[in-house]
Amino acid sequence: MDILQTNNLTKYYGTEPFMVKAIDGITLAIEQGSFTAIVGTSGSGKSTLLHMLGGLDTPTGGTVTVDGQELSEMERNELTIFRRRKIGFVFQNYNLIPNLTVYDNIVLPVELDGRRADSQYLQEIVKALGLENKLDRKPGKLSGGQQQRTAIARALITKPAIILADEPTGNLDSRTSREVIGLLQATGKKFHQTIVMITHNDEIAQVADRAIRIEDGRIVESR
Amino acid sequence: MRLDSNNNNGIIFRIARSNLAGKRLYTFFSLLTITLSLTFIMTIVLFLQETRTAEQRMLGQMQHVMYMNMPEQKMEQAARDERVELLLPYKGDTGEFEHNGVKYCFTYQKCQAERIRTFVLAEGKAPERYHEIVVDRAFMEQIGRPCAIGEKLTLAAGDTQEEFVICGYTDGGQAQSVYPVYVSREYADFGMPMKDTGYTALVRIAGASDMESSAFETVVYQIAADYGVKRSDVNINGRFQESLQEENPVFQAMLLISLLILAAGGIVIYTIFYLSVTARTRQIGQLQTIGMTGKQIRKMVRREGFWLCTVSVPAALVLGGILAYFLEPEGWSFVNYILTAAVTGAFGFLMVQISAGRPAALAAKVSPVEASGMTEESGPEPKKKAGGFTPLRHRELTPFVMAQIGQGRNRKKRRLMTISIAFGGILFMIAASYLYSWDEQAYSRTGDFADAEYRVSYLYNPHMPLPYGPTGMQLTGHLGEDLKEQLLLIPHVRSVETKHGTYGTVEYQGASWTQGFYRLTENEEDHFRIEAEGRRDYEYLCETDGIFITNSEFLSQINGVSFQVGDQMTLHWFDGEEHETTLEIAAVAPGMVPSDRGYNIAMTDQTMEKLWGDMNTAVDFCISVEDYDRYGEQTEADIRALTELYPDLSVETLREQMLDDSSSIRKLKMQIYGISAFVILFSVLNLVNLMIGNVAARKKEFAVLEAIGMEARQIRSMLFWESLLFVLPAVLITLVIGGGAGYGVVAALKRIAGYMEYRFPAAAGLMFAAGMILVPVLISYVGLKGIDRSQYHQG
Repeated sequence: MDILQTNNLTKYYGTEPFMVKAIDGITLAIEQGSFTAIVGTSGSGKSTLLHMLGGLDTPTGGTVTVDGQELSEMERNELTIFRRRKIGFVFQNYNLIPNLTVYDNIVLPVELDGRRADSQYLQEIVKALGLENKLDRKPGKLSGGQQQRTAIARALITKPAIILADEPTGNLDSRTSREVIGLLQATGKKFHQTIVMITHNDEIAQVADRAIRIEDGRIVESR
Repeated sequence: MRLDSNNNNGIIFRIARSNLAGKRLYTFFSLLTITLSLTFIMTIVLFLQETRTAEQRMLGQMQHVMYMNMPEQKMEQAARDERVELLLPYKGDTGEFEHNGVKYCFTYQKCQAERIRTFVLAEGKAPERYHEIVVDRAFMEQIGRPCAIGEKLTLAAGDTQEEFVICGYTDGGQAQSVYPVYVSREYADFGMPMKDTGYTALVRIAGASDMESSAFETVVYQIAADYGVKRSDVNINGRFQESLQEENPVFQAMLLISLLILAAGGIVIYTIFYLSVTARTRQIGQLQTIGMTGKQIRKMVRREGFWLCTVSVPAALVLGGILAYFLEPEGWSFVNYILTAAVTGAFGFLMVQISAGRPAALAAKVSPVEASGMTEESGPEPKKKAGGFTPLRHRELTPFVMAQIGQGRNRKKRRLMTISIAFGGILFMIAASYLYSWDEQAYSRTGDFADAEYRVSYLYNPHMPLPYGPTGMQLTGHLGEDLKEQLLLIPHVRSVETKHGTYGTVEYQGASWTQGFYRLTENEEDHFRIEAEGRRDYEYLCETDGIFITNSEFLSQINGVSFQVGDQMTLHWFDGEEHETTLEIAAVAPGMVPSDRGYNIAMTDQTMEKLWGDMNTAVDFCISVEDYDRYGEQTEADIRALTELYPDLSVETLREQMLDDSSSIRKLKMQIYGISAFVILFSVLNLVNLMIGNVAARKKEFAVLEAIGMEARQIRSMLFWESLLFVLPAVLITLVIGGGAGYGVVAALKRIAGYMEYRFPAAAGLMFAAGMILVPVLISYVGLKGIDRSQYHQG
């Protein structure tokens, strides 16, 4: 079953003759439980695509459907709530809240929803990501890898329909990158998550089940 | 090239400028804050100077001294004296008359606008012929007559009515309790109400402004002695003399207030710069990484401050000048403006350089590695509980809780913000306390109207003293029991209190003057509490028929004597027959007793009875009414109807006093309101600026929060609680410390201004608190607009 679909998605900036076509007609479908890498060079449109898949940006044309919900039909607030419940984000810069502990950062999306995190599930995530001894620390006292693992935990906590990872290893050394990718893959399998990862690194993209290459806002290869 | 030398001033300038251009919102609000702070400083400091200048200008158009009862020939001689800059003859206080219920008095003085400002014609010419007069337009409006040159007016003049021709008008612009009717020299010499009154010389002493107070006084009395003017007829302009004193308390107060204002402005500028630089620690670390030295970083930040000043300082100097001008236009001086602008501008530049330099120096000391991992919001680590941390400890992350957690971030920044807001609040509370504690009616009630709203007294002119004062009038007995009973029968009159006083001529140490005596009873408190030399207990004074002299320095000065306890003073008095006796000076006090109504010499009631027997010694009826606001007007009309039958009695009212005081009160209140409004505006804009800056610096954080699912209302709520958590301490400090400071100021002023009665400015305080709370609500709505949730990756 496809958890995410796009249909002739476009994103254009400006007007002719200076129009920039960041996304120029992308139609794709992501299967539930899969690990998909979207690969492309700098300026290819992959980050723009990710923003629209996550409802962070509005397409110029076309549709994005996540878990049966078309994002273009939602208002900003509805999108925020939808994102909170259905989409987990992992950012290149980790983007943890600096004043909250690791524990608070992880449970934040659930708390924003007015719920309490499932304690057993939380323990599993924490254990899987090796954060048991880090829960009382603040992000400023963690290494890059530890921060990214915290971000992954945060993305997982709401059991989202899909996890979107924007260059999750961009700020990490090669060894830590492999470690994080491995964890992403492992936790994705363990918790039956669908993962879509943006990367410019072909080597990293190889660990994914499927790689989609984008150039100039269009899919040029999909394997 | 040496590794430790750089030649890159140009690039530093350009980087600084581009830093400012790149963060427009932040730059705008930094500019706004610096401009406001400097405008505040400039306005207040210039206003204080303008107040002083206005006073000096006013004194520059007034006489320094009045010599009363100076013969015309002596005046002509004195006018040629090299010690005299200017001498103008004046005749007034010749009695008050009424026309259609409006009081007036005949006055002679030359029409003069410079050096001694007498009256300024708005239309027409000064009176020359016998029946020509100049009146004020407000007088004509009040009596219901048109203002036209040549208008004929019949006025009571003594026992007769005379027809006058109006040859000119003045335009004072406000109502008065008694209007001057300016007459010609001929009328002053021969007119019925004026011919028996002596001239007073209004004199400006040459070079007086450069004299010390004591030297000025010496010259004044020398001139009086040279031209045969008695010391008791010398009336020095007290305000002018005070301005000559070296330790002028007004000037000292101005200096203190200026320093406080500078401190307030300095704190605000420091705060905004501190916030600006500490928010860029990471950027500064990155610059160090690519090779910018600590010295260059400090230079860059200082250059940013310089660029901000090039815009904000001129704007502040112009705005401050405009505002100060409107607060006190009569004190405006271009020279003062330039000097104040120079000082304020220099202060502004200096303050910004200090404010920018210190945090920049701290940031430059942080290594690039530390800076790359640092955000300014890290805050302290939580303390580990004994026995280890329980991984599943839970706290609900509501917006309020997140706001509370946010308090841990950069405490210094928050403290600075709180102090910055509170400082403005404290200044506001002081101004509000002053305004709330000032009772206009109480102000006018100081002195004659402390316990009563009307005063009926003999129409006696103390400037034209008779040997036995108003004794002749007292002997008519008009202020007697008959009149008192009639006054008590007027509806709503609560009481009629008789004030007694006696008069005579005293001789002491070769000087002689007409003196009134205060009737001292056994249950008086003020006289027996004041510090005095000698014995002043009631029994002793009765036994020895002694007198108690208060305000001795003033009496000594005007009579040219030095009172010594134990000396004998000769008294001549009249009760139908002339008498003489000697009185012992039993006690002398330098301080004043306000309740003695300016007599300054008291004798007991027993002594007074012994000397004056059963003569009616009443000098005033002090009449009080129930509910003055409701029945005052009608009661006044009833009193006047009764006293009309007695031409030697005058009626003075609280209403007239309030009318006379109204313009000066209004002006002062407008100035205080103006300053208070500016302080509130300053506080509110400072808060807006701090909050907007706070939001602008956290756009990325908000984008991330929205990206992971925090709704706009939740972010607004978190922002609101954050702001409230630093505004509330500021409001509390404002109400407590500001309230206390306001109390202190009013208590200090009450020593010299008895009409001040402290009232906590609750409404003003609530208004301030409400404003400080509403602003975060507004900012949390407005500030979040334009947050682009896709910009989470921006550094």
